[in-house]
Amino acid sequence: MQIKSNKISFRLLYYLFLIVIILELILISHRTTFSINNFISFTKEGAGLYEGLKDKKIFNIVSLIKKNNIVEYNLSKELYKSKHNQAKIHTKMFQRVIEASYPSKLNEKSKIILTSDKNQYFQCQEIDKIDNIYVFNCK
Amino acid sequence: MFLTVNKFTNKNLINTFFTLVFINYFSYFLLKEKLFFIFFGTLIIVNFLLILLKNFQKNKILISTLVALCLISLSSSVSDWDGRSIWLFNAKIIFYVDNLNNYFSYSPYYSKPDYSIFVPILSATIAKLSGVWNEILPKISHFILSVPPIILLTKNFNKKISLFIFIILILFVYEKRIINGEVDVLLSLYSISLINLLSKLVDDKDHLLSDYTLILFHVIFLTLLKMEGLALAFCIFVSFYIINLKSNKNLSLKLFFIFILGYIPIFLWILYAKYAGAAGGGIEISTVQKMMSGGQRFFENLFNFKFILYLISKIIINKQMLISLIIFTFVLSKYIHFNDNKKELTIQNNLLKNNMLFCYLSIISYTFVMMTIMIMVEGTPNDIQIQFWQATTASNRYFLPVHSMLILCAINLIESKKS
Repeated sequence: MQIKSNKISFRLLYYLFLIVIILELILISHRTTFSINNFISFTKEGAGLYEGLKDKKIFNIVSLIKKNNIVEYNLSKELYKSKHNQAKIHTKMFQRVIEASYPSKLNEKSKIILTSDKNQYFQCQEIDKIDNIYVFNCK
Repeated sequence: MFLTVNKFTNKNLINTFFTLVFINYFSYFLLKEKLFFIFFGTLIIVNFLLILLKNFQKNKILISTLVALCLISLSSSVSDWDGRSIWLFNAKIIFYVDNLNNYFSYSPYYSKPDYSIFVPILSATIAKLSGVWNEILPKISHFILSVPPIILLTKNFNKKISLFIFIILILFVYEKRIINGEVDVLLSLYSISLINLLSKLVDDKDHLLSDYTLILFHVIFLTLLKMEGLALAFCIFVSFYIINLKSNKNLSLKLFFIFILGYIPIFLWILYAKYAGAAGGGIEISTVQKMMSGGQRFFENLFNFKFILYLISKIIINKQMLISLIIFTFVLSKYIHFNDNKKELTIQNNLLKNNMLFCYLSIISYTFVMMTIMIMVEGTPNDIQIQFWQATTASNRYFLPVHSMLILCAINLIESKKS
């Protein structure tokens, strides 16, 4: 009788443990950017970029660079502004744009400039725009 | 299919896996061109699937959990900083550059381009298999590398509770870090797997060549994963020698050669990064040198008691450390007890076996080394200028090997008890 009750309690613990595993897996998938669409497209070019960047402004900048086949670009100063007043190299904008737009490269001497303030570049030629992000050619 | 897979032993399959991964890395490092990425990439994936298939029948719950994690990884993109800005970005550069010599030509400093490219090469290899770069597939390389040590560690568990505790380690301590493109979990898994292999080698009378090659690959991989791996492998070997040098002189000598051999690939990379990095114009000074600043901040930070208290609190008070400590203390409590008159404390022999002492010493030595490093690197001018930035953001991550070792100790204790 004792053995039987031990077996039942072990089985109960086993099933409880399985439930905990499933719940934790759900939590992990929630904490990563889990999406069925990602699974369907995990062999396609650029898949998961938006979920990885988690920032619409940066996504628009990267999309503009890719769409216009820009080889070298520069980012306007106002894009680097951050809450903590960080150095440029530590800003999310600098790092995420560099990573996501590669093999296109950031070059501070480039005449192709991405900006959110089009008044600064009124003398340049506007190439393209998405929402409030503009690409200017300042040759 | 199962019958065919069953002909191979786990050791042989895993040794083949390690050999393929290493040859893929080393051929790229030597030839500088991605001539064999598709070939080795295919073999590595096939071997990885064989390892999962081989172990499915014996260990359904563990393999199912791993497959579920694999599917979650293939359904999510990489968003955490380390994974994204260091490992995956470096892999992306490798994927696009035609020659390794051009790797340093465009490396913004923050991506730490002088870090070993062992894992990024595997990520780029897997991306080459699909032919395109995206934010999802390449990071599966980190998960693929984590499976062999998991199999090596769990294959000899005799008790279900050990397996359950190990799954707790994977799901609750490592949590999303096992699939989010970071290498800290890999460091932890390879370190406890190495401790386990060395302990078994002492216990077994017959030593096969495959045992030595497994240990060699563990040392190579640990050191190539990340700079902390050098300290980790060193601490493990020093602990091993302190416990076993007198009783196993012959074995100790053999392992010494393996240890030296295992460090060669990382030293080759460090030398290459130093000269090619400087030539490419991307690196003026190595990341480690920059973080340590020649140890100038060590004494200043050491006598800053506010910082020391903060650092200790950050190391101890976090979810991962608490789970590991609770499990370890809970298991430990079964082996220490007061006599009936409550005057004498009895400690069972299991607690003081050589393999347990080896484990404790590894924990103590690595904790000491990591504490020293963390005191040294805090306040680097290259970091974000927020007070105690390193201690706040990296304590639980840097101490993942310690959490894993604590859980390994608990499992060893459970396994050592006769049923």
